Amino acid sequence: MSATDQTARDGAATDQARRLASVRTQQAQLREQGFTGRAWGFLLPTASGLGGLLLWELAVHWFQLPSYLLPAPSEVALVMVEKWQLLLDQLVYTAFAAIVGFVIAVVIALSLGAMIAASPFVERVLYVWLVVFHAIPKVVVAPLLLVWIGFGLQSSIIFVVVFTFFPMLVNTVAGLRSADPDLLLLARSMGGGNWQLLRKIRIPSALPSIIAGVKISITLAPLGAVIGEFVASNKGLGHMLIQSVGSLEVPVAFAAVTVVSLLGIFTWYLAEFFERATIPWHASQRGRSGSDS
Amino acid sequence: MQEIVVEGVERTYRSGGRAVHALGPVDFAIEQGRTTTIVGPSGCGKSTLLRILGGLDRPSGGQVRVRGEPVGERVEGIGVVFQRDLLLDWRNILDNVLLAAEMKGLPRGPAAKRAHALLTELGVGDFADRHPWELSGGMRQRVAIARALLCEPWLLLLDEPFSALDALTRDQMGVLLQRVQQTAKTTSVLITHSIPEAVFLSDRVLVMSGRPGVILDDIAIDLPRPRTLAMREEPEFAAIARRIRMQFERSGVLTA
Ligand SMILES: Nc1ncnc2c1ncn2[C@@H]1O[C@H](COP(=O)(O)OP(=O)(O)OP(=O)(O)O)[C@@H](O)[C@H]1O
Ligand SMILES: [Mg+2]
Repeated sequence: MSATDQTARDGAATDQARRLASVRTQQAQLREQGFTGRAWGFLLPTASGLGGLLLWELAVHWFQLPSYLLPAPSEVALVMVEKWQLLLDQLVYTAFAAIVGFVIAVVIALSLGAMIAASPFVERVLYVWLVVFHAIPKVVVAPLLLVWIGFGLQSSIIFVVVFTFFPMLVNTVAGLRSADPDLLLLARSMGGGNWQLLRKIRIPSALPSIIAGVKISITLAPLGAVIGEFVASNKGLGHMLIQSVGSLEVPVAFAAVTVVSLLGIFTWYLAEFFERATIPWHASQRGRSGSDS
Repeated sequence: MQEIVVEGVERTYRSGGRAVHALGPVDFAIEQGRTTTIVGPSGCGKSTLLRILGGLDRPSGGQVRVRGEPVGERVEGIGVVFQRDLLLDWRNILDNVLLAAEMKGLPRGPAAKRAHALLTELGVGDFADRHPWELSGGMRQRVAIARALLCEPWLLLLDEPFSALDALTRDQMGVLLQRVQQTAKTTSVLITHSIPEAVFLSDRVLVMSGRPGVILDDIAIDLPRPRTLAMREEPEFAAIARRIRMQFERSGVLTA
């Protein structure tokens, strides 16, 4: 039924119909604005990024900068095409360390977090250690890993664990403690035992917080792997970066940096996807997935 | 039959070296199938008393007996509605109602059937597969009531269930609750700050003093049932409401 039909049928409703029609056009306008807004939101960053690259390219040619100081983007791209096999190998190695380390960190953080949240005794025993551990500048002690664990993959993995588990631990503890006391009382009035309270109330209540921790940690994982490789590896993007800088192959270093960044971007979107899949009900996610209109 | 007997119940909260004597001592008994309403100034221990009745909190003195048995860690077969609806965002409406059955480990099939029937009776049957945030405050509270009634409780504890609602919705909910109670015949204990609501819904009103709350007055309400909203304007209704208000005035809770 269109607004015009309504007008024809009932004279008294004319006014209302006109108002309806104007509301509709307004909505249409809003929708249009929304569209151009979205196009704007996509076009502008892209244009900005491309413009920046172009300026960089021009600047390198204009000032005739040597490539060991600042390679042109085209040169970096060329290196990436030429050495794609090598870069891919290093990427796989680094990503593997990041994934394995991250998974271990998740397991440690969740179980330790659950223990701390459940028992004040465990918390008091562990608390001081965790604070000390967190206070130690990990990047600075990274070289010690070489001494303790030796050269190779395991060092990178351990460094990833060390780098990523803390945010997840803190958020797990906070999340498990954040369950609404009234909600727990209600569940208890229904006859729920401790286990059911944990499973049906505490864990779901904790999820948004836990996932916030996971999101922070997951982006730190590739970083941890790269720093681990700086000091204790002869493979991986971190090693490649250090090597190429050492031998003044700056374009290769830029290529490695680009790949590390791509890995970081990828893990971020992976985390977002994971968030949407696990807590679609959370206020931060509402209306983002297509399933609930 | 005196189903619940409260004997010298007191509650003192201790935290950080300070003690707050919140409640009591109070003594009263509750008849089976009756609606008893507790009114009293804020902070006088009404919620505390309700929690003690449901076995959700322990008295520091005295005891509660249910059908002769002293109440221990928990009371089986109760339904609770709080001021906040406390619906779980990660469950849809139906699953929210079914939480009560899950906690007791009951099979889902029959419980779901009953949940649907209850939601329909309470006027939110069409929203079973929606999520809590898609419902208005009044609708959410209806769901909370359905959840409390799911397992056919013998005792219904209502702690200011309609306080967060607007006046019109409140009246609607009062009528609805009365209807539900007439079919279910559960014993109910209701806390409210609204005198008309107390008179409208109850068979008996207990008026409490300021903290530590003790019972100042025990008023039987024999108005015929089912009651209508129009009855609130009748002299019998007004007389009872006045008696409660006077009690508050005398104890200094309300000053003219
Ligand atoms: N968990 C607690 N710890 C310490 N003190 C508490 C606790 N719960 C309640 N109290 C104290 O006990 C007193 C009574 O609280 P209660 O919640 O029972 O009051 P109430 O009559 O329900 O008030 P209202 O009408 O505002 O809901 C208050 O003074 C409050 O400060
Ligand atoms: Mg209260």
